[in-house]
Amino acid sequence: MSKRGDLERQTDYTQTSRLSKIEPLLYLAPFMIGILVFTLYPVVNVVVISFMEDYNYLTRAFSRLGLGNYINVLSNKYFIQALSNTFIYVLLVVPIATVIALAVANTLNQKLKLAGLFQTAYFLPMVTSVTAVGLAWRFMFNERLGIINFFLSLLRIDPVGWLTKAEWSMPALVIYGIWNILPFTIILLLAGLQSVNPMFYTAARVDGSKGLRIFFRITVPLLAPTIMLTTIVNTISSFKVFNELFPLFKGQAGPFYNLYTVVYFIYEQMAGKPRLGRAASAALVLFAVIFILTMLQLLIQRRWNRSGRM
Amino acid sequence: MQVDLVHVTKRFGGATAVDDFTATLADGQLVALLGPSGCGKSTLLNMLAGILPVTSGRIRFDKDDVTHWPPERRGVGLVFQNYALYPHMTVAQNISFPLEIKKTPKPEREKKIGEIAAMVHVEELLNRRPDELSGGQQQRVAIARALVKQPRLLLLDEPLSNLDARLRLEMREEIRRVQRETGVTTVFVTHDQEEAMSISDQIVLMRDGKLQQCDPAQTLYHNPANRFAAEFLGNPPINQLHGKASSGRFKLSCGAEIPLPNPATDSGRPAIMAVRAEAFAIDDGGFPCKVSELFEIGKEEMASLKIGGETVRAYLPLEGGIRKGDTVRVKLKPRGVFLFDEETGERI
Repeated sequence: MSKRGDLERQTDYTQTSRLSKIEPLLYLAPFMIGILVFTLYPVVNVVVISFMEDYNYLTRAFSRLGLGNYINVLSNKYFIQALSNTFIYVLLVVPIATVIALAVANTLNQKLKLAGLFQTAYFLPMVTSVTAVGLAWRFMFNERLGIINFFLSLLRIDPVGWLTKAEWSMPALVIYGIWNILPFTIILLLAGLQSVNPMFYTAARVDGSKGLRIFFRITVPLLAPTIMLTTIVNTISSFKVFNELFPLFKGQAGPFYNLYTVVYFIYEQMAGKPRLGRAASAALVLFAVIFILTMLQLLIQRRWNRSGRM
Repeated sequence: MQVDLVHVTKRFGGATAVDDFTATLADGQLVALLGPSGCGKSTLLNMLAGILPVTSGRIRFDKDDVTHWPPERRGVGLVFQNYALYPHMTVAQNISFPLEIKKTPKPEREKKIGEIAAMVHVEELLNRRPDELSGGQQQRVAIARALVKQPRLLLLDEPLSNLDARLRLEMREEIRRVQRETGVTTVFVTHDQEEAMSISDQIVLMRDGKLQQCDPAQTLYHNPANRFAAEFLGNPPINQLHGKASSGRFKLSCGAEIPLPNPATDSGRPAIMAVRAEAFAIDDGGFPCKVSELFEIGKEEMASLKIGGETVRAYLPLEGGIRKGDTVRVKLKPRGVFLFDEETGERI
C-alpha cells in the first residue's frame, strides 16, 4: 500500500517537473516574442541586407552577396564627412557635458537653498521631447530674434548666424546636444556623489586640504566609476546624433548640407529611392565604431582600477 | 601641547550636547574621553578637531586660541572610528596625502612615510589598497596617516570599537606604545571603562554633556567625585545600598545596619552607600550576612551576600571554606566605600 503511494507520488513529481520546465518559458514568452520580432529579427536582417547588393525591399531581389555596399559607403565622401562630423560632435559634447554635469552635480549636492527648484530645472530636459525642444532651440538660435543673440548683444557681441552660417552650425548643434544629455549625466553623477561617505571629506580637511583640492583628489577619484558609466552611455547616444540635428535645421543636415552625421546619412539613404543595402552597411559601420570605442573605454577603466590612480 | 577647554558649550537646535565644559589636558598625556553613548564625547572630539564649531566657550592649544580655526589649520591628526582610509589610494599614498598638502619635498616625504610605517608596523603593506587590509591593519595605517604630519594633537574616535576582542587588546597596547614613542598629546574617545582605565594617563568622564571628573584612572576609581563616576567605573559594578548614615552606622532602608569604616561621616539626609566588591573582608567582629550564591573566578570567589533585604556582590578569599547558604561575618574596608547624597549624587 505504502509502496504504491510512493510510486504515485513519484509520478506526480515527474509530471509537475515537466510542467515546471515549461512554466517559466510561458512567463518569458511575451517578452521573448517582443525581443525576437522587434529586435533580434531586424538586427539579423540588417546584417544580411548589408551584404546584399542592389537589394530591392519590395521584390526582395538582389544582384549578388558581397562587400559592395561597404566599399560604396566607405568611399562615399558624404559618409566620410558624416563620420568625421559625428566624431567631432562626440568629442566636443561628451567631455564638455561631463565637466558641466560634474560642476552642477557637485553644487546640487551641497546644502543649497532652493535645491528642489534647481533640481527640477536641471532635470526638465529629461522629460521633454527632443524634437519639440529642438524647435524651441531653433527660435533661441535665430539670428535676429533669438534670445541667445540678444544676450550676446548685451555683451556687445554682434549677432551670430548660428543656424545660417556653416562655421556656426556645428557649435549650435553641440550646444544643444550638451544641453540635451546634461540631465541624465547630472542625475547619475549626483547619485554617485550622494553615495560618497562624507567622512572622506572630513578626513581630507583634517589632513589639511580644502575646496578644489578635495574635489580633485577625493571626490573625482571616488566618482570615477560613475563618470566612466556616464561617459560610455553618452558616447554611445551621441554617436547616434540625429534627433538633435533634424529640428534645428528644418530637417536638413545643416544650412549647406555641411553637417552630415552618420545616422542622418543612413536616414538619407532611405529617403527618395531607398538604398537599403547601403543604409544597412552604414549602420553596421557605426555599430563597429561604437563597439570598438566602448571596449577601449572599458579597458582604460580597468587599467585605472588596477593602478588606483587618476 | 597643552589643551585648554574653557566653558565649551555645543547646542544642536534645542539640545545641548556639551554643556559648559572646562578642563585642561596636560602636554604629552594620553587622555581618555569616557562616557556612555550620547554623552557628547564625540561632539567634544569633533570640536577639538575643528569639524564642529563651538556654540560658546574657548579652545586653546598652548597659547593659541584655536576656537575659530578651521580643521586644516589646527594641525591635529584624527583617526576615525571606521578609519576613513581613502579607498582609491594605496597605503603609501594614504600616508603621503597630508604631507603632499604640506608640500613636503618628495625625498623627505618618502623618508617620513618609511619611518612612520615602520613605527606602526605596516612597512610590508605600503603598496596594498585599504580593501586588502584587515581591520587591525587599517587601524595602523589610519594612525600612521594621522601621525605622519607630526600633529600637535592626536585624536582617536572610538579607535577600538570595530575590532574583535583579541585585536582590541593588541591595538590598545599599540596605541599606548606609539603615543609614548611620539610623546604627542592624545585624546581618545571610548565608552569602555576598562579600555580607558588600562591605557590612559588621565580620564575625562562625561555624562549628558557635562564633565563629571577629570583625574588619573586610579584616582577616579578610588576616589570618585560622584555616584555616576563610582557606578561607571569598575567591574563588577559597584554595590549600592540606600539608607542613612548616622553616628558611625549606615541604616539601610530595609532595616539592617552596617558599621561604617569612617565613622565621622554623617549624612542626615537620605544617602547611598556604594561599596566595591573588593571592599568586603571576612572578620569575626563584622556584621552577619547570608551567602546566597557563589561563583569561582580564578584565585578569588565572588559571592552574592544578603544584607537584610539587599543583595550585594563581594570578592571573598577562597581559603575561607565558605559554602552557599552559610552565614558569614564581614566588615567593610575603608578603601572602596563611598557615601553619596541620594538626591544630588554628590559625594558626602
